[in-house]
Amino acid sequence: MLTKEFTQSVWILILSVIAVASLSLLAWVLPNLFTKSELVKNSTAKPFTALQLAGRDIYISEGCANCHSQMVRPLAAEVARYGRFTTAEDDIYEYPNLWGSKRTGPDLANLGRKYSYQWHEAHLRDPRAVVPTSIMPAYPWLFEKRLSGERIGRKMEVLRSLGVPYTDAEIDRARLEVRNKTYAQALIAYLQSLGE
Amino acid sequence: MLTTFWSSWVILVVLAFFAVMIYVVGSYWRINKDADKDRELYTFDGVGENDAKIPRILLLAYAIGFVAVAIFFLLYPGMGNWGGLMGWKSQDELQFFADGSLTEAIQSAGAGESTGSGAANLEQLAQSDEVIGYGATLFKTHCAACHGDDAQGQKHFPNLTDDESLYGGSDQSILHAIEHGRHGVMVGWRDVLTDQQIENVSAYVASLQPERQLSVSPVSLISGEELFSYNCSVCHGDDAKGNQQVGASDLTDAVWVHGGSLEDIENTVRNGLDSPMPAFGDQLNREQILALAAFIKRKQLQSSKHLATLNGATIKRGEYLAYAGDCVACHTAENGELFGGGLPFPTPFGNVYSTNISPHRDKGIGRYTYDEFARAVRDGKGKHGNLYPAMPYTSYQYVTDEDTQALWQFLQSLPPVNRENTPDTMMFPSNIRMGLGAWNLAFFDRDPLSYPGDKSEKWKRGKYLTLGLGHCAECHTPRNLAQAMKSDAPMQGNVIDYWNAPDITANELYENGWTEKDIVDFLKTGDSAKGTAFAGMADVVKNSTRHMSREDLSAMATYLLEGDVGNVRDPARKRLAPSGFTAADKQREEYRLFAETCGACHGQDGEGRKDIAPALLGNGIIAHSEPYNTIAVVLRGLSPDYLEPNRDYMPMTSFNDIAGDGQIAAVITFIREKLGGRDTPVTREMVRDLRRTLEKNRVTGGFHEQELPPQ
Repeated sequence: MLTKEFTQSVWILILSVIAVASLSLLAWVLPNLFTKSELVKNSTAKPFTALQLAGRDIYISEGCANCHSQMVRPLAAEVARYGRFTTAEDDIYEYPNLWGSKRTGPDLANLGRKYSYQWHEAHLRDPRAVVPTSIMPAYPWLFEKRLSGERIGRKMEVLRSLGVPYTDAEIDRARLEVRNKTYAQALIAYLQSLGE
Repeated sequence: MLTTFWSSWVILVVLAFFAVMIYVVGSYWRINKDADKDRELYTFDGVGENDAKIPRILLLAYAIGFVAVAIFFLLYPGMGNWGGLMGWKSQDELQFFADGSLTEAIQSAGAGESTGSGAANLEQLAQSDEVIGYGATLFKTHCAACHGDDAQGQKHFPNLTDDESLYGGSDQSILHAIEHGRHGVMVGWRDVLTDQQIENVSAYVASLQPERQLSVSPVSLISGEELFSYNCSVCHGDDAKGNQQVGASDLTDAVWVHGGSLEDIENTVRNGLDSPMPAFGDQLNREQILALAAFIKRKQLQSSKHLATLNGATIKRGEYLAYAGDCVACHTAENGELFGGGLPFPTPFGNVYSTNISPHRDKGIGRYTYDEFARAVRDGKGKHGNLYPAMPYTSYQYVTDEDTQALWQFLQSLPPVNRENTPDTMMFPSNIRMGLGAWNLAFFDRDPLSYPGDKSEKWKRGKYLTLGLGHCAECHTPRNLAQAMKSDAPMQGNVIDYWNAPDITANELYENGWTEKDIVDFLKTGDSAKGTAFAGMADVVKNSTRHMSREDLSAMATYLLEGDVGNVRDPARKRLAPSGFTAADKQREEYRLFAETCGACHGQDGEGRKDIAPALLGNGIIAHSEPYNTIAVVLRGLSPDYLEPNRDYMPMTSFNDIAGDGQIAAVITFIREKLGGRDTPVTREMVRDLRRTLEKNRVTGGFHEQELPPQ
């Protein structure tokens, strides 16, 4: 079988690479695609409210994910510091997920409700005010800029098409929920929702 | 968990992959036998490829790899839902928390059963270093970002090491707070009370701390008290001692979670509070919560043990000395928390801000040792570098070890204040603290005070207090360009904040007729037969000298009146003897001006009027050889200093836009001669020059706000 024609054929090479590589896809990815409903059933995750969703977009646009991961690995040291480790069920409503791959700052997967609203405000205004050794930049403009809420409903519709169970009523109310809130309010609402 | 189908699917795929790999490697192994390196298989553009053997070691490595993979799949999970022979799970890596070592530690600490709600005794647990080790890690992870590494808290987040607790601080209350959280809520009053009412009630709340010096009128305090009893006493109690059932704080002590400066209090009253402590019951198990609580308890025990090492009598003495040294006036911002620092000191090179000297470990001097403290006070060397001479270490250097120790103990006994130091705004190169070493070398005279044998003990005590802790010379001695005191002109007066800290040499005091009793009265009450304390001196009396004993004050008076080296009393000087206004004087034009302006409050003979204005006849400032303050008072006006409620005078208006320079000069010359006995005239030019300086620096005014003249 391993004749000259076989081993030197470009097409055989391409096909066998695809075949071998697809084996890992077949073993790791394919079963998970078909067991998503199982994940949803076991998950305690809740879809983001409109304000939290707006905050999540600010989190992304400010580049928070560049320094903060949202994925606690099941290792003793990580769990000791960041709390419960992340499971597949946690991220069913995340499009895209914000696991991150670099921790310049701490992991935020379980941040929600760990600090008070006042702490987050003080911290976003000037991180050094509450954590003297922090190297995080200050984000004072978040307290000045306000959301219009014009696009939040559309975003929720897109997410619904991806499987997030938003109701029509929720999408309808979304604009009012977000409108005129400061960026900081939205971001803190998002941060407080992490790990709930 | 995968369904059976998908589990089988995964197993099949894995096995298929394994089989393919074995087949490929096996095939090559098989044909390896017939390989001949001299046989040319193919040529590519004339370059031949020979049929060499695949090195045996490579095939062997593959074989070992396959065996290892097979063993792996047997022992560890990988085949669908089958967990492998070892039964390993990734969660097993978390054994650290599940191995029961914390449970054991808690049990061996003898605090009873650990998981039930039962009688967990935190004090007992706090003795176990093992439990505390766990607790410390957990604290750093979950609590330190708000409560600080040392658990001393920061603004909005309470100090956990003291005995003060909004909810009582029992073991149960600590455990409850960690497990279930707290939610401190206070309503904001901005829609209910007017701004003025909020200011009044805040001032009243601030005034509940008796040590605090507030520049607030007694009327606002009365109104504030009434507002408090209507609106605030429901939660904070009639006595303002708080209510632990609802977590309402005690407003009469020095502990302020949300900031205790008047501004912070107003802000809290206006906007209310929403201050949650998150619940950790879902994140931490019972043992972990116990370990955390034990860690907090240990911190509390450490701090109360430290407080117990301080000597009560020494603390009292230290408090007295701190008043004598006027520490609180400079180390407290205007209407701020005591010893929290933040008062600006404008210098020609920028602002220096006084620092937090409460025993807060991060924000105050909690990490100082006694030696470091003594170095800062007496040598001007802080832990962060040389101190600016705004800190009067040039005077404090004379303070004895015993007194420094007492001061140290007093400061240690204070509640830590959660106030971050304000950064100085000194310009280059004066912002480089190392450079102050050169200043010290040039101007810091380290010779000890001399106490000549022929002087009385009282004089010696007076000298120690005046030049040491009292640091009177710091204001009353003129300074050179580098802001160092001129050693050849002791107590000869200096201009500060556009007031004159007057010449108080023995000669000057004698001429102006000061007696020991006058000086003691002046320092003790801010009021004397020779006049009242105002401007900076009013603050000194308010914060410092009025807390001193009459014995010490009369020792200081003795020292000042008798003089010292470089400040010797000249026997040729005569006491001034003001005549008062004669009948002839009262016919003069200057008198008419006096009667219309000054006389209305100060009396037609300059004798003063009770509760309205002090006497000008014989007044030490009127009679002073330097007319600066007399002119400045007329131009600037004065607001009352609320020193002694029953001795207060009315505000004095500014005459800057009422009388012209010439009129003011004439009246001042007239009253200096008649009421002070001083016959050196004040010229129109003197008034004009001073007025221009004051206007340029925007300190004229009073009731009549002064527009700046075009430059």
